[in-house]
Amino acid sequence: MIENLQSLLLGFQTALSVGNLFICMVGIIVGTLVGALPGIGPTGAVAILLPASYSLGPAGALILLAGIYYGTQYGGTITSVLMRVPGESASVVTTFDGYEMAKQGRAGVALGIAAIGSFIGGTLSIVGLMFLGPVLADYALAFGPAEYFGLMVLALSLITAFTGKSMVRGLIATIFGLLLGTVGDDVISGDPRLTFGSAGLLDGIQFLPVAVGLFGVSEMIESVLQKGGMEILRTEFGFRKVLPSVADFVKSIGAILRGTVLGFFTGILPGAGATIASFLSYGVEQKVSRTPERFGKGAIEGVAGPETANNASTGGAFIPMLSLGIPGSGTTAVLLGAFLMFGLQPGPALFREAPDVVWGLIASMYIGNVALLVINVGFIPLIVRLMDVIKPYMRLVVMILAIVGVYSFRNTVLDVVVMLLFAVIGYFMKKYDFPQAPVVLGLILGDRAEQSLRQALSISNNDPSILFHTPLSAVLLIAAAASFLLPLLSRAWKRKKETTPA
Amino acid sequence: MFGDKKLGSIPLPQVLAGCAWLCLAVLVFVGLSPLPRAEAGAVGPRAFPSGLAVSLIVLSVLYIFQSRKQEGIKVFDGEGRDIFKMFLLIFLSLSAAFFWEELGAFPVLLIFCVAELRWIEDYAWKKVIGLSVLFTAGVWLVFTKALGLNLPLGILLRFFS
Repeated sequence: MIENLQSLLLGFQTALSVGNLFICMVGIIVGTLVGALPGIGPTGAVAILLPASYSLGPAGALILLAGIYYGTQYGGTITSVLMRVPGESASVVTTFDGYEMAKQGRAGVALGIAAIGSFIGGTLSIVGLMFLGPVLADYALAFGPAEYFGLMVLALSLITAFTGKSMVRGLIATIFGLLLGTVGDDVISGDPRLTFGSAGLLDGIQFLPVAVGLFGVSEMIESVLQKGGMEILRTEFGFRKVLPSVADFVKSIGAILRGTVLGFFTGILPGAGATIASFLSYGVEQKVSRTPERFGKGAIEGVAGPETANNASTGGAFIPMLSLGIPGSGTTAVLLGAFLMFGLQPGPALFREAPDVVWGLIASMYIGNVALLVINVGFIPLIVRLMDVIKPYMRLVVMILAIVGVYSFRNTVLDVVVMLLFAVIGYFMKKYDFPQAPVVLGLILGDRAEQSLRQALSISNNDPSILFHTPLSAVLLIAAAASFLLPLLSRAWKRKKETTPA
Repeated sequence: MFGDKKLGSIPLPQVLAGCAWLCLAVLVFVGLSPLPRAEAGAVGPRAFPSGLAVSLIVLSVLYIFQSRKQEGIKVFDGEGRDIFKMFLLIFLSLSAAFFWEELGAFPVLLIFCVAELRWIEDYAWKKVIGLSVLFTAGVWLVFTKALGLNLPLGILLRFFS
């Protein structure tokens, strides 16, 4: 514990340098705006700004990108409350009661309690990350290839099971991502695979053009077909109007604390993430409330709980990414890609190999959360004004950032073409309801999963039972199988119940 | 497009999507064919992608089968003019990539901004020109000056050399 606090002090030295402090502020402001503007989610924003962040060095780049990530969770609330248009999926649930509060003239209070809840949830989840992350990393140092393979299968199966509405479509997207990860020189034999004679593919398909294309540019392509402007509910946002009353705070504190716990643990789970955390929190608040009929009609707990939960999930989501090298969502997959871009391998050794980067990142999250509280309580009118200015040029700005950023990543036009190809693929995937996050996760984990599997099999002379040799690897693979089977069994059970006459 | 057409009881768009995944699986097998076979007792470079391709075939068939009695998916759900704009945006982006190194990043960006603002966003010429210059200058300032990235100068090299 003392060791962690000492490391945190080292982190604050990194994060509090003038340059990094400025980068952190830029990140959270961009994140707030991205979260507030419907069209581009946190994954797309992080992916688009990733190449531009390259010149900032590992600590600066990760502070910027993480700032965008948790900044979006704050920003998403603004449009949910004022326009009933969620800026990103984790804020959908906030529209239920947030917009109703705005109609009752309590928009300021809704935004204020969301900011306070987000701050409490976000900060406590960083405390959790700070203590749980290194412990898990130490434990994971003993993992062998079989355990790692089990872990990756579990991460992929959970994200397949949680994202999207159909298991088949989720699995197809995951396999597509894994196949993309096999393109290029084979990690063990060195043979070029699936390159079809192209020298440009020998290094494999880079995750950055894929992520920017799938999450950022595809959204812009689709946005051309979407009609209808955004109508902002104009109201007063003076400091007093935004600060909730003591009665409001007392009513919300239980929801905030429950949302913190729920969000943090949901964030740790691969695939679950902020959206599921916010919906779970809303469900829990409705269940524990003595007056559940108020929900959907402007209940303040319906805003406080989910907004806290979606912010708390970001701290949780960093744990498997930093400690095990396993991203649990599209955004953390892109962040993991950022580490790899700087030659840092997230995983058990990261806390020892790059303490300044990891602890600098953690310290910057504390600073960022305080700054976000100030911005979201004190500067709402300014953010709304900025949204008005940026929105008409959003498509052009994103397209320029995507083209320039992806090109400057490796100075090759091939990456821009790959990005555009995946933008078109992303458009079709969205239309056909195939989830996109498993593609990026598969691409990032694909070669590592294959390497672990082949290493494990070579140790055991091709005996697949090695995958169940240790209790941990067996448990991980059984849990992965369960994540597929349980929803199927529960659906079959429900169908049987419906068809059986009472 | 094809939204209402069906192949038996399966909507045509879903059949086409399933076939696209099947084609990808076939492409994987074609791409793996030049690879040497693994030595006896070892797992070679073919095994993992082959396993994935087989799974993809099974899942694609399952996807087509599951689409029975579903509504056909409308791939381009919008007015004709908006669909044209969407294709124009893709075309403009591809053209930008194609001419990026030949013409140079800044001339390409200027043309891209003009075309996007004029024909996709429908702004008046005066605003289009002003904004295009502003955005291109902004990219030069942020990427070249502030972040120190090297963007290709293309034809501008003639003026600077």
